[in-house]
Amino acid sequence: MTTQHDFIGRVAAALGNAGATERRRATVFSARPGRRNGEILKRTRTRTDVDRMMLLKELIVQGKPLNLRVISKKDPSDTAAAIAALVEERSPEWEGPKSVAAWRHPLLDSLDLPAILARQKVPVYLPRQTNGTPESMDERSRFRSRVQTAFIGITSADYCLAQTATLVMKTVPGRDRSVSLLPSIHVAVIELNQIIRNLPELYACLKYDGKPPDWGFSNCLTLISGPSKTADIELTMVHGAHGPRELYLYVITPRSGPRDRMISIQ
Amino acid sequence: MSQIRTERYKTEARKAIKDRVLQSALSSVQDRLGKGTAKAYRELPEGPGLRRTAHDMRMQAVENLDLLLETLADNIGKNGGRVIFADDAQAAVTACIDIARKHEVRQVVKGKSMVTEEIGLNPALQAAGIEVTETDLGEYIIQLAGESPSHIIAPAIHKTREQVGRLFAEKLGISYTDDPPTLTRTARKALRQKFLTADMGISGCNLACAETGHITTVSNEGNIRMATTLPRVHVAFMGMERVTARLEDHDILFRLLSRGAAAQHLAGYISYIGGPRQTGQMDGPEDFYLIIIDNGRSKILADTEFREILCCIRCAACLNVCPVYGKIGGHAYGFAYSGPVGAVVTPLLVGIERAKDLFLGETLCGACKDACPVDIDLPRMLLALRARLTRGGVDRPTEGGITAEKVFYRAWSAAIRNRRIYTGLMRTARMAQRPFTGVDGMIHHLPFPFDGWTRSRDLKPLTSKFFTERWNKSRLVNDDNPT
Repeated sequence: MTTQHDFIGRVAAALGNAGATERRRATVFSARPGRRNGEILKRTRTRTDVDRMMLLKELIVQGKPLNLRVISKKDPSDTAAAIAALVEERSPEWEGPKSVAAWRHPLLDSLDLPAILARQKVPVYLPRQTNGTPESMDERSRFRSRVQTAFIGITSADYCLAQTATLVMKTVPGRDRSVSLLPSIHVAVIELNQIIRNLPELYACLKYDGKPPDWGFSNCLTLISGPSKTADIELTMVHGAHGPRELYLYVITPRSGPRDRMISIQ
Repeated sequence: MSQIRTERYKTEARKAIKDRVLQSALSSVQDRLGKGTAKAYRELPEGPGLRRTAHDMRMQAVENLDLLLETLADNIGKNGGRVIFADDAQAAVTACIDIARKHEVRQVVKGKSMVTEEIGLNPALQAAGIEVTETDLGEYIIQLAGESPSHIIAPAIHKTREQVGRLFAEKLGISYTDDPPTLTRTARKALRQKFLTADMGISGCNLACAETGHITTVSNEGNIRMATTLPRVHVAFMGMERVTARLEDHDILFRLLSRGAAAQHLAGYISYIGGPRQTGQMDGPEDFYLIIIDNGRSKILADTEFREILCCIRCAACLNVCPVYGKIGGHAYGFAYSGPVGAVVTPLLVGIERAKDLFLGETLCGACKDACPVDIDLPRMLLALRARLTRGGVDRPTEGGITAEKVFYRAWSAAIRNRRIYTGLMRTARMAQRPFTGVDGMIHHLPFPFDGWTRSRDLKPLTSKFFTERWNKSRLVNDDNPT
């Protein structure tokens, strides 16, 4: 087997790049936020709720052709009621009784879903608080089987991009990736201030809000734009290839001020 | 290395042209994806010129590849992943089988990856007693049918819904249907079981990010997320050129990749993966390996005439506009990569002589250059390959090409530089063509040695009055009647 040293040595030889390594490194990797990134960061940090309402409008428009349903809600209890109605109305794709899996996340905690869904006798599975103790194999296989049987998976997100209708999720304890993947329906709940404009804003935020070399997403970061889809048979679009067939995004938008403002814009 | 069938280009192309099902499938792909991509470029906020910016960005990455690979490997190591460097197809395949043995892997689920087609991974894993299931719907269909992909992003595009229906009825035991949603649901159900029981997931890599230490996977189906989240082990394969320096480079490149591939603003799922599951995370693989493959790429890198092809991000936009691909389909190209990009990459990987028909067969019309999201000058390289075939070059010390053709062109070159010989030749040809000109005014058959010219097309005969003759005459007229 070849070593990294030999392999990269051959690449360098092929390029004729003997030396000038430090100078090239400085050119290729920009160490500090450049002027463009600086402007982007300033823009995201000084954004007002009115600006964000405009972004929400764009998100709704961009989500439509992707089958991403964006629904604005005034507060957590309003959102929880909408989710409860969805749980009531939909039936599971695979066999077994209705159950729901969710992230352990402050915003979702405020929805109080376990209590609300208990009225329908639908259990809500949440991964346990780890408190630094490593999870056992048993625990992990229990997690897998719960998420696998859940017909709805409920998550939040770190950011949401308006221009491409994209949810961005860092993988951290309590916010596991299969919750947005294995259940047939994915429900995401975010707050208005999590909406940013586009990819350049995302990359600037990821890069300079997190602290290198950690970047805030060391082993996995997921970008989701709409439910799973395929067009592999005669280019016919079908939703629900492997991942969720439906995707709902609830945006909690404070009632006073901006919300009324948007209604007047519409 | 996977099976190379480039020598069968002409035979396979002829077969494809006669296949009416394939012809209608190809024109439908080109009509929808080709036109959609052109429209998507026009609607870019920065305009189509963004493709040039992307080109410069990719070229800078390729020209500093040594630094980028070193940084990527170090950072993936910091994220807890392991990086393996493989000189050739054999080394990459062996590394993967070793990993599978070490982790006692019996079942593998795979996301679509052209580089694993290039190295012939599936047959090797199967020979080692490991079950491999392709999970991209198109790849799954052709795996069930025992075929190879005919398009980089829509691998089963040569199959009709009726053919898929019959295939699923036979292999999956369902009752026949040709309804794409029902067929998709059938595959969804069958593959969900595979995802839940597999020990190892295999993926490719669209564009790694050196400074953060991540690979990325892109899909619309979500199959790659499944394959890289659920099994115990994740092995990713990456052609060594598929890396960018900075995270922000991904903005332009992913937007262009999504437009080039499927006329989308952004693909449905993009995942950044840098290492295995960490403490406190309930899912994700226990081990993550990245296998970085050379397999002939450093030779291309050293050849400044063809270095540019390493900017390619494998979106298949050039396939969707190519008039040749549109007629002969992907299988005729005889290797993992088809269309204009295949006609350049394949000869450079497997040998110019061996794959010469691929670049000789392209038309040089330039449509591929206009469709390329990173503005690669494919027509220039197709021509350069033809020159290399005739004149030899860096890796061709001896002159190749066809001797008779060379003699002919040398004689022709001498003749057209001498006015008297040229005019004489033309006059003779004008007389000689008469018996071969049909009633419709076209030449259908020329005698040996010119018969090759009319084997697949009619020729227009030489005009009865040459331009110089008409010019001289009109000048006389003008001189007579000065206005």
